[in-house]
Amino acid sequence: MDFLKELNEAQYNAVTNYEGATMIVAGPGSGKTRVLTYRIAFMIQNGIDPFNILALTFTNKSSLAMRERIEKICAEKNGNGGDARNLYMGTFHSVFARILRFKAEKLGYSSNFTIYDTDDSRSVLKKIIADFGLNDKLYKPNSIHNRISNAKNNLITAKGYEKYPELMKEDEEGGRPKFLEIYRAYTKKCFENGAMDFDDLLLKMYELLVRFPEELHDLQHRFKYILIDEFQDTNFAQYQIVKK
Amino acid sequence: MGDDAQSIYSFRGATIQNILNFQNDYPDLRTFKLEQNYRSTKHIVSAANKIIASNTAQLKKEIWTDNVEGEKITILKTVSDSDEGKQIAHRIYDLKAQKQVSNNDIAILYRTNAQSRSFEEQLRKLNIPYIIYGGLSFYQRKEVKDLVAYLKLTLNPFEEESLRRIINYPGRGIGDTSLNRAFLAAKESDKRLWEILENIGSVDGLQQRAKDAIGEFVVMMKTFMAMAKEKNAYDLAVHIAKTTGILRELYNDKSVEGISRYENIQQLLNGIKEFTEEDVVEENEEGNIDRSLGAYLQNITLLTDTDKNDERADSVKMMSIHAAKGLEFKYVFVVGLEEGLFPSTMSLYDREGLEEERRLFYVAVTRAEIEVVISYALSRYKFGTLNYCEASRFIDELPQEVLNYIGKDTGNNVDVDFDDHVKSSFGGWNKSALRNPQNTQQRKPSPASMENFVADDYNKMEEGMKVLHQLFGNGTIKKIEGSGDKKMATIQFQEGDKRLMLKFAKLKIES
Repeated sequence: MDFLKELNEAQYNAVTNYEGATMIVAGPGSGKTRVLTYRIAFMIQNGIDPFNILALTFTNKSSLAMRERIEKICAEKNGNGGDARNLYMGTFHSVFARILRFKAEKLGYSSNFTIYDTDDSRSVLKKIIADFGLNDKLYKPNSIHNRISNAKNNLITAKGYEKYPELMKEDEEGGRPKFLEIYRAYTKKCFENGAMDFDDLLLKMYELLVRFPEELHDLQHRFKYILIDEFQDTNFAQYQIVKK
Repeated sequence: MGDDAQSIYSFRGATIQNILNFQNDYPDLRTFKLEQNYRSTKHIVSAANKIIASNTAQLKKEIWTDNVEGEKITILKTVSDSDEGKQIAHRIYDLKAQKQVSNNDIAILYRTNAQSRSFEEQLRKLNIPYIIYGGLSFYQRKEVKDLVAYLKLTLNPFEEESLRRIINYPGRGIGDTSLNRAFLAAKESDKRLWEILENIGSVDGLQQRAKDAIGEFVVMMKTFMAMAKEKNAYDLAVHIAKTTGILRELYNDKSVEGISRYENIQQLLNGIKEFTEEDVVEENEEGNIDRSLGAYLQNITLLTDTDKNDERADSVKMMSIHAAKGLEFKYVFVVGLEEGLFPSTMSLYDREGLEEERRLFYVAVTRAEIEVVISYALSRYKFGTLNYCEASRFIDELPQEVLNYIGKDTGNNVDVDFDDHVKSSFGGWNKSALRNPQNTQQRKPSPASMENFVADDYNKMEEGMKVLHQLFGNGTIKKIEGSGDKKMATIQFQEGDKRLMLKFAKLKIES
């Protein structure tokens, strides 16, 4: 495998030891993308079915670039880069959105659910806060949205929020006792609108795995190898999903 | 795969704890460290290591490089935010003129997006093209959002945000009063707005005219929905843009803004066309490639900041450090290194916050391959009032031996630095040697002799002249093209021919 010659010793070890749990600590400019790319190419050339590999990247662009490179390496080797197309690759959000599009109905959504970007979410919240007759200087849509986002990233739903008295106390003391009511109304509104916000893509993915063991089983069976780029920037929800 | 030293997203809920948990959850975990840096010069790498050493380390790691030592890191002191913009824009101009650096290789990185303004103004003055990342992106423009709202609604009519956005755009006589009536009806019967609109005939208190208008709107949307099942995303989008009248409305607006809005819609349609034809792998359950409208909408909604912009344009890149993550540039300007800005005020009171800011600084500096310039301003407008600022603690934490201060100790300083004094008089002594043409001609001057270099008026330059350049030494002008301040000269130096823009080349006429 010619491409291995381009690697230094540390990179070589990180590329070729692909079995078992591995952590690669990569300094800036140390060829991280190259290692991740070659590791996947190496796995495929050692007979691992690309269908079984899931790679979670930081941007869609880097994922596209990596996929191209991997396909090229595999094509040089077997004259068939087509296999590598079965790789499942993308950002956390886009990968989960793709999976959820086929499973949305299990969760009560249409498969054509809408994804709300930050602007959309804030606009929905703004309307809820106005409907509640609350002061939007105190209940700023942006900060309410951040707090909801944080809760979701820690897998705390509107339904489960009351189980965290310390959070309720923070809301009370921060002068925003109505936070939970807003969170509930927002959750309801999104659901009625057939929409998931960015954080729902993680939360609903987690819900799918927890509520439907057969789905978990299928995905575990499919994704035998999971690679995560920029692991230091993953949140609790992302880690809990991947751990499954 | 990751780097704890580059963890900068705690505000999004990212947690270094995950790395530690990973070690606990998988006791058989094997760890590999990639420490050789291929990107940056030795000076940049040593600065990076020193920066991160001030944090409490989680995973021990020190980067090193075989690359050249490189230029020192410039610390640029400026008097105000606008002066900072000006000085950096001029440095960029000089880089381009003297080192033939292309715009794409240059980035200005800042802590907050609001800082971009002064750089924008100054770059525009010098006609240097730039792109701002993370500003109002293409998909956030009104006209684009309008058409996208139609597309979203076609797939999911229950989505109220989109529905409210376009039910009366372009205007079709559905006023606020009628709409509020429909909202109320939805609330009273605990139904969704779309369901009410579908049966608008049975809603009380609406004028027949409004009912007709709503009825027509519903019929139109339903034809779109039917079409979505048969046509591809592009054909559907074109059909919607025409049928709804969006295209006509924008086409008829011949103001500058109107034309650009029309172009944006065209660009959006082109993007959809590309998507339907492109060889992207977006497989569905059966392994087929999914080019449906749904897949398209999902794609554009989930674009990350750095995905959204056009790489092809040759422009200076301006972005927040957060957006620069994972990118690299030959020349990097890290600006606004002031206490209260970077590190930000909010982080000053707890160690964790401060450490995250420091990691951010680490990320900024390590984006650069060749040169880093770090700047700060002594005063800055914040919310309309002028504030005085002091240099960031992060500058003091850098290894002083790799720094080159510019603008320090200017003005009426009471404090005299003898080192500086000795150096400048040394330069003065050498300058007189330089003035004597017999001594210097045909020799590449030593750096010391350049300290008091004074360039001659570029209008006096002619083909065939012998000139002296600060960096390249002696040379002969072979050719001059263009006129006025756009004059480009091809000059033969010892190390080869260079094309320089005369206005900024800073040449001294030798003979």
